[in-house]
Amino acid sequence: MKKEIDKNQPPLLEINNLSTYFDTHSGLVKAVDGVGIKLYPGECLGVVGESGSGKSVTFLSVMGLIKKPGRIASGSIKFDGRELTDLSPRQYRKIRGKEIAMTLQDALTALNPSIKIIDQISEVLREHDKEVKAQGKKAIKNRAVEMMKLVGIPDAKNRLKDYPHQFSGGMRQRIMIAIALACKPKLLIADEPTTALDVTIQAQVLNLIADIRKELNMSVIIITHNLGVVSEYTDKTVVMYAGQIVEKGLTRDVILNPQHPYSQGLLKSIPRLSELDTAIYPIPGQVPDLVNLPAMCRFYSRCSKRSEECKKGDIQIKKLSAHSEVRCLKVTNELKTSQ
Amino acid sequence: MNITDTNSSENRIDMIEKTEVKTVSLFSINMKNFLGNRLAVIASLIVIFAVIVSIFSSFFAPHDPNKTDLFLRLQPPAWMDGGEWSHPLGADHLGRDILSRIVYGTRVSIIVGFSVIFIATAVGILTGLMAGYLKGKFDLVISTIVDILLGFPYLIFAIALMAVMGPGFQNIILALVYKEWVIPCRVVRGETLAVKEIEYVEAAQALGASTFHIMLKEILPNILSPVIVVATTRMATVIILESSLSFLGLGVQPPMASWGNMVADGREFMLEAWWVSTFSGIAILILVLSMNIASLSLRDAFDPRFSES
Amino acid sequence: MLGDQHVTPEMEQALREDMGLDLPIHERYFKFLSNASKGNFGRSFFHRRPVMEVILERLPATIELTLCAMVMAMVISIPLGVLSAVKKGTLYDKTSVVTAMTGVSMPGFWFGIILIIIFAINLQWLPVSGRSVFALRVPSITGMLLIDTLLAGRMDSFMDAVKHLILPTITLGMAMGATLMQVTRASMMEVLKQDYILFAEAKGLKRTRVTFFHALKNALIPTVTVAAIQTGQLLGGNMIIETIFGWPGVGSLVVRAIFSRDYPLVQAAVLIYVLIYVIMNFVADLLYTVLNPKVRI
Repeated sequence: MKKEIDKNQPPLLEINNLSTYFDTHSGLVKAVDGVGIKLYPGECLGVVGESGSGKSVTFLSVMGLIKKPGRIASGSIKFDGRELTDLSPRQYRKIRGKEIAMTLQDALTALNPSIKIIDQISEVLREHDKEVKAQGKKAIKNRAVEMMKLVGIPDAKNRLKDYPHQFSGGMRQRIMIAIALACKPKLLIADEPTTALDVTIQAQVLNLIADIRKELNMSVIIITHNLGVVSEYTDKTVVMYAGQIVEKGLTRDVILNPQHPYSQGLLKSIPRLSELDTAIYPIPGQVPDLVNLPAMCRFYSRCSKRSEECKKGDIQIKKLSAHSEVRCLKVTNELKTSQ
Repeated sequence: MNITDTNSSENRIDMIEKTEVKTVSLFSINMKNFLGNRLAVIASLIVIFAVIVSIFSSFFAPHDPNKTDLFLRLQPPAWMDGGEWSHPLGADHLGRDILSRIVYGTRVSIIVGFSVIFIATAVGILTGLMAGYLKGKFDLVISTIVDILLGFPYLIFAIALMAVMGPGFQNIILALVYKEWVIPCRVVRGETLAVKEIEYVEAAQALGASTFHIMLKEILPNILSPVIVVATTRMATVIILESSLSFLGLGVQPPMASWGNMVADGREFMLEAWWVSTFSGIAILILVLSMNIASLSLRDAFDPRFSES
Repeated sequence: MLGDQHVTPEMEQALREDMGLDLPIHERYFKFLSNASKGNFGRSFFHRRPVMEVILERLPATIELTLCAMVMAMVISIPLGVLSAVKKGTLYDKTSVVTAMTGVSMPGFWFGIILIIIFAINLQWLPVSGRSVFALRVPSITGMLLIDTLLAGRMDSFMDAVKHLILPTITLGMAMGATLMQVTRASMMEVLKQDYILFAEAKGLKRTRVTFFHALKNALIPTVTVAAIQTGQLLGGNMIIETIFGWPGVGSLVVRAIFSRDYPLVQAAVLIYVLIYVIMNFVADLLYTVLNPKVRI
């Protein structure tokens, strides 16, 4: 499940200082503000954060699916050497579904209820895979069956003409994955792949993704708020809060030794069966309003380690070590003093 | 409201049938954001203006609407050849001033519109509350009547009634009320059924409040807003219906002016005097359109759930 | 009814017997029901012929007009509604919505008259009333002029029928079209917000495919059901519009019957209208079931 990170290759996905804003009636919402990520081929990245942290919006921006009143205000998104923000809609379409694929949280709503499964799978093939398309309907159908089998749908051949609601929740999620992987993309972005599923099914789906990742040497981004998933399946982790990345690093570092107060709070707030007697520590307070963000640490109001200095201006993210970065004055100051 | 997601049969039928009633919600327009506050304000002002005109008709009308003058027969509007500014919109086939008749016609439309809606809503609230809260026999009887009445196309029902009752101002109000009450009744019944389960009603019951008290004090205030929205939307439709009936000659009788019968009068003279029919129809259009816009804004004010921009 | 003729008591009694008015009321009611279920509505007072005969004679004209209005309304308003939803918030959208609201706020009878004034009288492009010109009559096979004229191979008659159809169709279809456009727009907007549209776009599918294959399929469900219901309601509007345009259909027949107190005919017409209304509602239900896979299977 975890792979050696080959840093000799250039990054597959390089996001630099990405900002995505929404012009709403109540004001300018800075959903994503200065996000930077590097992802190498074959790597699995976990993106953690609560609702409103900007995690989904970041990757919708990568997919080019941000619509009015949202816009990519600044920054660059480089995929496989190409600058995505320069692409025309037509060019972007050719990449979506073919080189970068995305799955959504709830497979029930993500699959069109009025269209048969066979059509929902084959249309991706017909759109992106000219070879298979040229081979005709039968070849396309066979490929679709192949994909369904790959993701573990029993009796795939006979179920092609069924509709989404005729499948169980776990099956639907797998079908969504099958659709996403039909054209063997280089990058799979899975947005909350387990949230809508039962615990037992969750593991199945994640293992499926892990297996396929190995087979295709595909990069995967798992967006989730579930730290358990992150710790099991990802190589690197990024923690987001209020539109910014507050911590990033190797997963084992972030999970075992979180630096940012928010990450620490997240890990502390997981109730553990082994510690039944200890108190539960939720993080007090709420996510700030993304409309009127003052220039200061966004976690300030909920931080137990804050100081006056934290109010004095936007906090920059700083490198802590070869793989880690943190956006926290306290941590970076401590590092300075220890050096 | 997720249109594509309704599943149960009853829900769906209700949704489909409620199109007439809830066409408002299907419009999905948030007036404020969409067309601007100004339009809603203008529309409301127009409606208020119409009410004022209907009350103070004699002030607004330059002439006696029923005064005939054969010298003025079919006189064109002021800006055309042969027209005069003393009769800005021209005169009809009996030489009566069109503008004045339009002014007095406002009375008919406004009074019929408000009366029908007022009475129908009152009856509808009463029957709806009874059907929704008391259920059992009440619901059975009332719902059956409602379903039967709904099965009749509006105009035919009204025409048939008018043919039996005879034409005239009061009869038109009655005839329209006979069909109109089912609409607020259905809305009230639906809302009552929904609200009934909510805690404060159960609390009141536990405290031993009388049925009547509950219906009036607990349920009614909470279902008022959709009822009001529906009432204002329906008023526009009622006005069109009244004008249709008057057009057919079943409404107010000559020489009394109503926008509908003015259009009918002008029909004979379409060739030589288009103005006789045209302006009264424009009046209907303006009033009804304003009412529709105003009621949509009202709906948005009450229930931002249905907003879109 | 006998008017000013000199009436003797014997004549009156004879007429009563003939019209069955001498029987007690409950007997009359049952007689009516039994006759009605056999299609016998009695004789029209005015036309002095069996009611069903008179109605059936004029039915094709009404059906032709209603069908044309329906088709026109759907063909114009559904694409406009889709376009409006796709271009949500733009000037185009706002204009369409306001136009649709105006369409709903216009009294049908007035709109028809205005159209006549502008197009028939002033511009003289189209005829003022009627269904066809006598001289261009063709043998009646289906009763629908558009079909019959083509079957007879007479293009001049066909064009004549078309010209007569245009204004009444527009008038009748306007209200239905305006509502349909708004329903389509609203429904489309709802659908476009759905996750499956986002997912379809994430698959890199062409815009047209997403809009028409994915979105419209679902958006049409409420639209079609509303259209079916509206058709049932068109019958009311039919009466006035047929009267204005002198259209020889059932609608104008009924209006005249009401005014001349031709009760048998009115009874029959009301029954038929209600029947059609109920049938169309049933069709609407059926359509919904058939079109919505979730319900069907």
